[in-house]
Amino acid sequence: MGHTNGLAYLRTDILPNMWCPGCGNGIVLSAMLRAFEALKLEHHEVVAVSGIGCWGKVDDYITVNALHATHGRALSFATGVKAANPRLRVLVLAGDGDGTTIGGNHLIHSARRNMDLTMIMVDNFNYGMTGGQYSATTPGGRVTSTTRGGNPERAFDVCELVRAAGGNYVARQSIAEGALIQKRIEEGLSRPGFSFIEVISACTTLYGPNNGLKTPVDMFRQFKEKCLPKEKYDRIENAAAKGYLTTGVLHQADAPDFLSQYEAMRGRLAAAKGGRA
Amino acid sequence: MKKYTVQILSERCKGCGLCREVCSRQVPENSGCFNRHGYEYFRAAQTEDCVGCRRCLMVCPDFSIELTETGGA
Repeated sequence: MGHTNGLAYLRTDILPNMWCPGCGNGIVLSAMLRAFEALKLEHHEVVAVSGIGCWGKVDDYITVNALHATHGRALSFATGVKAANPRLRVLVLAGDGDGTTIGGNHLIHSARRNMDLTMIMVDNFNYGMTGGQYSATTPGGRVTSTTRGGNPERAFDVCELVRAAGGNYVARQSIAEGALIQKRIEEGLSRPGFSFIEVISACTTLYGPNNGLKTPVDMFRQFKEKCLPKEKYDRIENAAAKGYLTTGVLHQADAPDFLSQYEAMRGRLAAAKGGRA
Repeated sequence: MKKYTVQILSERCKGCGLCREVCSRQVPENSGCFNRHGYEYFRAAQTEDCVGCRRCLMVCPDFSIELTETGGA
């Protein structure tokens, strides 16, 4: 039957994937591949740059061009790829540990520069691959392997950070909303400038069990309850303190992206020199 | 009514149970059997009850569900 399944972009020969049962990474991967199919992307025009971590392993399972970068630096490699060949559609696939904690500075400056990249950040609230240490998105009070008595720090609101730094598109969904994740990725890929999609995801081996959510289904139910569109979120008193998160498109702008500014500057300089760049 | 057949690929399934959680008809169920990777996989039990909503396809993290339309008006 004729539904989109994105299987043309999936390496089925090395399945099953390495992720734990119920891990959100597979759900986001599936949504991303369906988005590729819906946008009719050709393999040669897409580059996926991934970082280090569980989600960073995603490049093993896709048939588009992939670049596996160093920890926290996926955005920098992706910036280079895009600057070298602006015709490519460049995605950045990094987790919360990689994208905000190790590579937080790159995130701020990619958004400020408004590079034409689409970043999909799978946020599972801890460093899954290295054993469940706390990251910059671990909410206060939560238990991880390095905060056994509860996290004394506050978490980043990464979407708010990217909006403030100048990104053109900011959205958040949870893994309980597969169809919407696909839609957000399509929107992000279609909009020039820096697009940022945060997906609230389940670490079903470490973060969940550490915090009283024993099974993938328990985590899934909690996301359904806690991740709400803005109009529902606004009706709840002290929603942020109770652990609720807003979902949907949180910010959209049409600021010129870096490469169009750069080309305009080059054009002006060339004109000043009498047409020679 | 359109009819659908659901198949769960036992060698890819890790038994997380999210497909059953999103299914309004409880088509997938725990098979009670283990695959060669050691996971207790799910199987599509009442596949004739499937309404073709595709929620299981979108939630399965392991690409282990196949849905085919098998006729009907």
